[in-house]
Amino acid sequence: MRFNLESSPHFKASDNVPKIMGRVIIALIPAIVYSILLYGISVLVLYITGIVSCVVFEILAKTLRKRPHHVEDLSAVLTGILLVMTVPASTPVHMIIIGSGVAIIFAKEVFGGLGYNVFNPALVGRAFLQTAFTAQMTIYPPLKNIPFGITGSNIGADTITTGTGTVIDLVNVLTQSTPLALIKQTYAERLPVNLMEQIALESRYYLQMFIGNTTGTIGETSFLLLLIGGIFLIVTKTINWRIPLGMTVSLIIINTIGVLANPGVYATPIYGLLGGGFALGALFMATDMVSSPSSQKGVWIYAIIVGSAVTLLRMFGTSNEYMLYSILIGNMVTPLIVILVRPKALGETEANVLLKTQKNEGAK
Amino acid sequence: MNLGKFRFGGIHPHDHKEAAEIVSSVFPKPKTVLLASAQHAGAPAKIIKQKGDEVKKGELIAEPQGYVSAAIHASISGKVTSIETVPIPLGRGSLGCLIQESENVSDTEYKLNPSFMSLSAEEMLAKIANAGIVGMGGAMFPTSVKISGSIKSNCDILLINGVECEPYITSDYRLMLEHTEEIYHAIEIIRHIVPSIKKTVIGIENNKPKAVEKMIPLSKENNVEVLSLKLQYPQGAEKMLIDAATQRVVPIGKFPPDIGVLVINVATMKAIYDAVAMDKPLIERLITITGDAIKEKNNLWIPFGTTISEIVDYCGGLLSDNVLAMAGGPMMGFALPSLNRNTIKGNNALVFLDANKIKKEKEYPCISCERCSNVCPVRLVPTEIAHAAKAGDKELVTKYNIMSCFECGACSYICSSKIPLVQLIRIGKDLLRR
Repeated sequence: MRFNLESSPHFKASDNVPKIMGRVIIALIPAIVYSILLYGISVLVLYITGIVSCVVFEILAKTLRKRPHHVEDLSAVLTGILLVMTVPASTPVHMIIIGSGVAIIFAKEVFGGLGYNVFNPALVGRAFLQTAFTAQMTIYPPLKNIPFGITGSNIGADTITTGTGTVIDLVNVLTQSTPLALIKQTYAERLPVNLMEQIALESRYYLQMFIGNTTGTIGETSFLLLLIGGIFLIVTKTINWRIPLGMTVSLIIINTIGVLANPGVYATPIYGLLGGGFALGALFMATDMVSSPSSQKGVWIYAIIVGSAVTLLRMFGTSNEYMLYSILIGNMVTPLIVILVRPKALGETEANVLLKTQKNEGAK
Repeated sequence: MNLGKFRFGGIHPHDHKEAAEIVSSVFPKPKTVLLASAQHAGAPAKIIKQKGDEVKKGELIAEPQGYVSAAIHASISGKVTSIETVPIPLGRGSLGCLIQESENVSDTEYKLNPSFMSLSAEEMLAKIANAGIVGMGGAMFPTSVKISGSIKSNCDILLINGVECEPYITSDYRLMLEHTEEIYHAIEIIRHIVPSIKKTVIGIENNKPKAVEKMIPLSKENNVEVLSLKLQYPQGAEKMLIDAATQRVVPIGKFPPDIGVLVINVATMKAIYDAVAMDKPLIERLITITGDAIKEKNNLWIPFGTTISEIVDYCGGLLSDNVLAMAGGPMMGFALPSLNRNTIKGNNALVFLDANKIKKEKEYPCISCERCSNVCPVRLVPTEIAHAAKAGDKELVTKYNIMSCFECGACSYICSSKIPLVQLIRIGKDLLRR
């Protein structure tokens, strides 16, 4: 007869870290499959490289630190997948390996491993690649297949006519503009002059961007499939719905003010939501539990900071890939938010009021 | 009827109230009982009997020591065979009195005093104190002390706790179904003792609709409000119930009487009725015996001090040789190291689970999902307290209001990384006691 001794509570909820990470991976599967359809089997190779190298680097780092590894928590797998989703399809394999190494070793393990990292590891890996291999990271190859047929105008082809003319033509054989780059180029030419013209131009691409038949990084293009995954995560309480909502609302508000004040210069909010990896960032990256706050107040502050940063940077910055840096800014202020909005314990306010009245009475 | 609930946090564990519809029965007289002298919060009682003394059921065997303490009575008739150290779940052992059943000593019969309501308030309170009644929801705080405090602070609300939010436990539910009138009589008694009470509320969670139905018919004539509360653990905790039923908040460092609320558990109410109307001291209570590792689930009236192995034998024995035996429910109960332990006043259930069926979860690093702080009913940040406790930082754990934690276990329950947060918080509390 054996009696088990343990500290109460003796009941535990069944949800745990591997299940949480697993659900995020499941939610990404539609977008992963779609990206393989868009760019062909080479992207699958990149995914496998990302996953394998992240897992290997994690085991390696843990062995060097003489700690037991726990790759079964799936966090390294998720980092590998997210890293690949944020790079262009033409990225060579060795760059993925370097990115994975930076993500796992310098963004995660040096801080102490899972749970201790300040920044989202995948984004740090991607940021490193962006600066180290700027040329390769800004080339977006044209789509290999368009699974659901061409819907609306082809953004890639439009670049030639509305872009900077024939000079770019040769380059376009190999590269194409992402939706945000296209609209930035177009507006730099001062083509639409008022809001109505601007909306008319942009709305030609809405459906295409919603489904995802546009150029861009591997996993960011399909708003629809990412949204489906995101809804799954919200329903299963894996991510905090306040983060994507707060980001969306702040983007809409700031962007609307910008567009109304200065028509024909900035893209409208709908275009901003559909393009530039906003869905991937807001639903899968900014919501990473480790690097984001989750107290009810703190989460709103965080969402507003990330949402405002990406909107303002897109409006006034020179590049287009600001989703990445905005989330890193959010990660950076997270510890501060956590300290600032520490919840008051039940009865703490009441106790303070009591203490004050007692002091006042004492003074009298 | 309104569906209230407390304002912050809370969890929804499976309630497992499988023993709910089993009608209570009386446990046969045990061969021996071992009565600990510390079955209450406060100073242990002083044993006044010696080895070899004959005691009658209900006879005083230990006197309260100091203001916060409670009397202890013999729960069976028989002979004191030894005074020994008893392990109790509250920690360090205490002295106890072992009583062996004997044929020579006759049992006491308790009769109803029909004119009990004509007693004065002082007489009633004295009867409650002499009966050794303590809070039977688990805290085991002497009830007479609590009531005296409520008289001093002019409490205006009497709140009857029939929530029973712990999974598995059904003893309070059975009491509400089977002893409804006694509970109402006890309400009258309390109102007589504490005349400042203007409003009486009974809080019951909505997973016990039958208890609500049973309580309602008598509520009008007694001017009592029956509240059906939204299911949420730990609603049965005193401060949570006060919040859910009255929207009042107990300031940190204060007690419910300070904000005018007197909270009494239904099992304690039944004991108060027995003490005042029948002159019966607190010598037995209704205990739920349940879990998937016990053959027959039951709700039994068991004398205090009964050996748990005897109760297990009566219920048909255990079904597994690897069990998790608990005194109390799975959220706040104590794991028993053996069946050679004895029941005490705060023991409302014995739960036996098959440990082979419980999945051992691996502990992962904290991923700061902050689920723990989102479910904490007193709004603490369990991870921070746990960190500070691990580091042995007394100042920091005090700053984080560690003493507000009443160890409901919601944080450990929900933790995605399966970190034993409550255990770490207990270590932190121990730091402050040293």
